[in-house]
Amino acid sequence: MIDVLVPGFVALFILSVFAVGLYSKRLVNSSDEFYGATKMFGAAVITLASMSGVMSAFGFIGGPGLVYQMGTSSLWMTFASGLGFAMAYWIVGKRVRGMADVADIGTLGDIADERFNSGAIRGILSLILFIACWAYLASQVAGGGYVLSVILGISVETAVWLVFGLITVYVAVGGMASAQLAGAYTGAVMLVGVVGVVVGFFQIAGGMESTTMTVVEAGALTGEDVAKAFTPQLLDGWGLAQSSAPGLLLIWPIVFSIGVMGQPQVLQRMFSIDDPKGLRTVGLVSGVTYAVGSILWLLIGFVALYLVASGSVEPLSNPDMAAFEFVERLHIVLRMIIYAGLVAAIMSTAAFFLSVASGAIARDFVRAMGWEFSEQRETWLGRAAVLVVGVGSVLFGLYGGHLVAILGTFGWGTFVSGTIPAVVVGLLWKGASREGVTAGLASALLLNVTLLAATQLGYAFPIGMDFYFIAIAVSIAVTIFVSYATDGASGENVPEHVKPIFKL
Amino acid sequence: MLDGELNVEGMTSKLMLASGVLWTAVLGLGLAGHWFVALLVSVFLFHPWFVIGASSNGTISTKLLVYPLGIWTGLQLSAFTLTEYYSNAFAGSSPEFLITGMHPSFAAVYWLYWVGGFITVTLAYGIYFRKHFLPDGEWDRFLEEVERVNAAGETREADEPVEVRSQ
Repeated sequence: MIDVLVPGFVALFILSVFAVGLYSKRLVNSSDEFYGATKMFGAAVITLASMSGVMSAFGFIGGPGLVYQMGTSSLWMTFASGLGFAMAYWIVGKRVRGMADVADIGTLGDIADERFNSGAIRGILSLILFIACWAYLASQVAGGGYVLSVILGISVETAVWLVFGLITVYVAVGGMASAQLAGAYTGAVMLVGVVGVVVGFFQIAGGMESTTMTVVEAGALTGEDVAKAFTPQLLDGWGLAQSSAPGLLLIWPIVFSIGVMGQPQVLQRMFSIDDPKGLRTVGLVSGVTYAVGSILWLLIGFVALYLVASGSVEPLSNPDMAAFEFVERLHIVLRMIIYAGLVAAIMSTAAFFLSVASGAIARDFVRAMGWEFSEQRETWLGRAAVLVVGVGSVLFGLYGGHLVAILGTFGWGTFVSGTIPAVVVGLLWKGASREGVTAGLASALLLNVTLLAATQLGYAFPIGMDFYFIAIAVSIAVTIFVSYATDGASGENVPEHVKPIFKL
Repeated sequence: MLDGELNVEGMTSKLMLASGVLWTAVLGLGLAGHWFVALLVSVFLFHPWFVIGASSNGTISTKLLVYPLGIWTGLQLSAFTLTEYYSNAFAGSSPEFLITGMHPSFAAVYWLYWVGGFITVTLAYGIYFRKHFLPDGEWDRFLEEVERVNAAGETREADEPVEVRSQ
């Protein structure tokens, strides 16, 4: 019998997110606020929005699926991310927020342009951000569409057009302000969802000791279509990646901790804070709330292993079904809460990247070209860009086929390789030069594209290292070393109005 | 001893150079197959940027170098080492004991790296924010500096046409 309570509740929740998104239009009075929600919100909103922006649906579905597949290895990603928030605020929190008092900024491209006075840097950065956002959006459509269709009981196409259509409309109306406000609302719902998961974990698996012992002693199990080998290594500190791809165990703790400060959903929120004293609350609490979200990743993954190891469920042919196997065994109230949290994760991430992608075109690319518009026209251009990017990413996500999966590997690491040279190094170091950052960004763009192409052609990097880490390390090193030998917009040549930042 | 302050302004370029060398070293060691050594070296990627970013008006309190930075460094190195040790010790067999219900190797990750990270990097941010990171009056000083620089810029702009005409 089709249960109408769960899809009905989730549908109502989606409409409530839409209403919050639309409401935010009342708060937007300038193009800076439309593109960046600059200095608009208090610490509570930014804290929840930061958490929900980073914890995408991957934390509910893909993450636990990876735990089922490779044991504890993937937990390095989510553990490191929680720590990355405070790292980010220690390192660039004051300076990014300070830029909002130094100049009129609404995007990360604005910050880079003010710092280096360079259309080329703004242009390359906007291109990197756009590619990564587009890839994120398309994979959210492809993956999230399936999840939404399962929860709502409708076809993938209908679910995608309905939910992503609503997101596109409210972001077109309220811009980044709507992404922030709706993100805070959805973040709060996600936290409630975590409570449901913790209760469910103890109900089903009976706790950590019972899970560990059941899994390490299960041995090899065979289902109708697929077999699953349970070994003690699944639940040791490295998981199965230690033998298959140890490079992941090297790069994940780095890219997902230090890399948090390279994520637009964290950097942009730093300058959305109205009062600089709010930096304390956001830096302290957003990591903790994210860590609460990490419990989803950990516990859902462990429960899935427990269910199969204990013989309650046959080995899974699709690891991404781990979350559904768990949730479907819970009380209907818990199911409603957890599914609402899952939909919240999809919507908040999609709304944010839609806003950043449209800002990269309508503001950064336009300004990099030297085209000038009035503030009002710039805002309307942004609205048009949201509609075009929204519809385009839905079409690409639905019908892009294999290309969506390939481009889906752009994302977290691609952002890091672009924003750390241009924004983080640029604001930390007076000696970062225009030439150094241009070289760093150019190498990031080149390496992200060529190394991805190489992996698609079958090339494997040593120890299973992923291509994006090479792009990140090279772009940072190139930025620093080239800056040492050049002096454009560095040292005494730093634009006068930006110099006070370096004493913050 | 912990009440001292370190002047960061004069050493920023050296710290950034060290940062570039560290990123190159981690990548090089990783590509050469020494992933665990590279992981241990990667612990120090955070240090140069932290020293610059956590400084206030060009100086950093030595307290911050001990807690969170020093203790966080120790926790990470211990976590990685114990994870590797217990992973090897119980390779291919069930662990002889559990720590809080977890495989000892995973318990090192969970308690030392994850929970330990929160009680150093994250908690210290909340504790030291007002005292060492953004002391009272610091933002006002910054805003005054911004205003002074902008005023000087406007004066220069206003003077420029006169200079052009006089040439």
